[in-house]
Amino acid sequence: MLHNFMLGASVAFSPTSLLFILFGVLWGILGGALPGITGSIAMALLLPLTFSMAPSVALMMLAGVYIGAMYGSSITAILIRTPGAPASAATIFDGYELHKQGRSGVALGISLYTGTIGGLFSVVVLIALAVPLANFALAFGPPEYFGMTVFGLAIISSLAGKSMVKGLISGVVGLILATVGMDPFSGIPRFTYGSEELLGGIDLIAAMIGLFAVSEVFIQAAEKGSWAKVDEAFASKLPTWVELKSTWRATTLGTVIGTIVGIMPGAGGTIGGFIAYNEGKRWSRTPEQFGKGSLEGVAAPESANNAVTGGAMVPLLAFGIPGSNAAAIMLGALMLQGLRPGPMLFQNSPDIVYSLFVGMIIANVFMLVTGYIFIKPCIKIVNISKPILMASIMALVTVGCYAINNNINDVWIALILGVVGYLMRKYDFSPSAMVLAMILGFMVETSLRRSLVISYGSISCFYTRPIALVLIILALVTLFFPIIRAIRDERNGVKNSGPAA
Amino acid sequence: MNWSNIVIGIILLAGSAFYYYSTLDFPPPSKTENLGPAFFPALLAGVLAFLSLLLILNNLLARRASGKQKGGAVIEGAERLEEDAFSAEDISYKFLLGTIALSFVYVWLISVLGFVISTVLFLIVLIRLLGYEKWVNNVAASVGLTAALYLLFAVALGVTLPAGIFFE
Repeated sequence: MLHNFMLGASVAFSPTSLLFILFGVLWGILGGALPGITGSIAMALLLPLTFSMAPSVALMMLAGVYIGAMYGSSITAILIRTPGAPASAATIFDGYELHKQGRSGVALGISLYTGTIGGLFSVVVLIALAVPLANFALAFGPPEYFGMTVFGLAIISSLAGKSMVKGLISGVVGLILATVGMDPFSGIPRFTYGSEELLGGIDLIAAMIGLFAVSEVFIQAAEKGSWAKVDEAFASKLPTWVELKSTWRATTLGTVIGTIVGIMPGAGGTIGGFIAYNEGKRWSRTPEQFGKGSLEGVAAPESANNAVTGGAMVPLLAFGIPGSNAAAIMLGALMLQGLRPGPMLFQNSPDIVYSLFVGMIIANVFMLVTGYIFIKPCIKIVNISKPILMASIMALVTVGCYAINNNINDVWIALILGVVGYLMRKYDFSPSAMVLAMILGFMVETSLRRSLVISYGSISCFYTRPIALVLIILALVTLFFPIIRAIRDERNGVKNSGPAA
Repeated sequence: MNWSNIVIGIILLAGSAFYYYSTLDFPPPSKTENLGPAFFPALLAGVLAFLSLLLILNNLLARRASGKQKGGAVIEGAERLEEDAFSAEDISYKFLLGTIALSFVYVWLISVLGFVISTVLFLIVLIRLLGYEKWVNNVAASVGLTAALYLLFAVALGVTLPAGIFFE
């Protein structure tokens, strides 16, 4: 293990790696600060650039973007009451209040410092969990992987939409899209309808860029009016040590909650931030200050959304199953290089996994060092007019998608799925669940078919192997529990007609 | 009753039928691989049909789907935020449809005029369409951005971008 860390550190501390991690962090802070551009969109925009990089460098850079964006989104949340990404939505309550009181620098500083604490802690948890879990997963055969992927998809889809049916539909459509292309077992083309371009399947990277980034451009374009201008001359006095120390309770809560939420598939920074804000208020000595410019009200969600970053890497690295958009994009970057995360990656390329661990620590340190200086340039870019920014993203998306395979068809896929993603979001379906299902679809089908090949066609392999059985039961419980609960509530006379209190 | 959900449900139902229909001429399972290429897609078609029916029925009966009552301030807060993105009065269909149409024309133009000319044109027109009125800044930004993308992808990363009919 120590040997592996030395190996990882030697990769992560090379000048090229450091340069790309720094670039990733700054790009992430900027993307996070831009209203509407979330961390995963900022990551997706860089994805086409990674094909010429070493896989370890690509992963560290993308992790840097993810980490930086979690802090960046608090900049606009605090300064113009518009969260740069939903992950910082809970920060506006107290962050903007502090800004109005002339304590903008204090709010931004608390966000940066507690975010770094949350981020670093979550990397430690990631290392502590991912390594033993991956060792455990080495024993997994096709039936276990089948149970695992179905369980993961069940959680993601049922958490994703406002209505569970729509979340599940999003997931199933993703699985359906994943079946397009050459059948991995028989080699016959499926659902290609004579198109040679579709033989290789729908390009995942183009699909992610379309569903995440292009759909967001359409949403932003459709909104009348521009973003509020950010005043560059804000009070820049940073928090004192005493002020930072006064948030320890909220920071601890936020860090722990964020890490746990990050590990759970389907939940991310947004949910983590809101839970941390509520819990921070509940456990605070001065809950009455929340909403009136409480430092704890900034510390709780901001430590939580940064703590999500480490947690989200746990299922990706240990099992090869992405639980969030950001993890899906990291997986996309690996697949672009012909690699797949999971226990075998620990065995075959420990340098990639361990350099990511070290790289994430470096990224948090870079964020701490550059985070405050970089606010001013960020404000300048946010103040560039929205039409120019949106048009630029569209052009970047187009050339980026083309560059993946030197193929214009990938651009068409991104564009069409951009329209689909827009409609899905408009009608409360979940593009995230669809993307995650597209990624896992291949694994679900091959693990199912391989299981039955190994067991000579008997389905006993799913109930005689304990781990597989537990995972399948968990998946069924996830899918049917909400229905059972609904029926039970109805029997108890709870009216479902109004929105839940 | 929510008509858009019912229409979406019917479209998905038709889609699942078409998807199932496409599996019918797949070859049967082989001796060693007993599920064959059609099993998994057919299963998915069934699940999608079931879920679409559920969506239609849920809305016909004008009841809220069971997943709605997750409750708690957390989910509520996140939901309210999502809804903000689509407060109907603030949506400009001119901007939306214009952006979508222009993007499609742009991708088609790339194969005709090449990357450089189409990108400059696309950027100038889209920036103007979205309401930016300073022409000099617009053209400067469009040309500058195209140059930056060309340098990054064609020069630094060595991607062969489409040159178009004028440069071939």
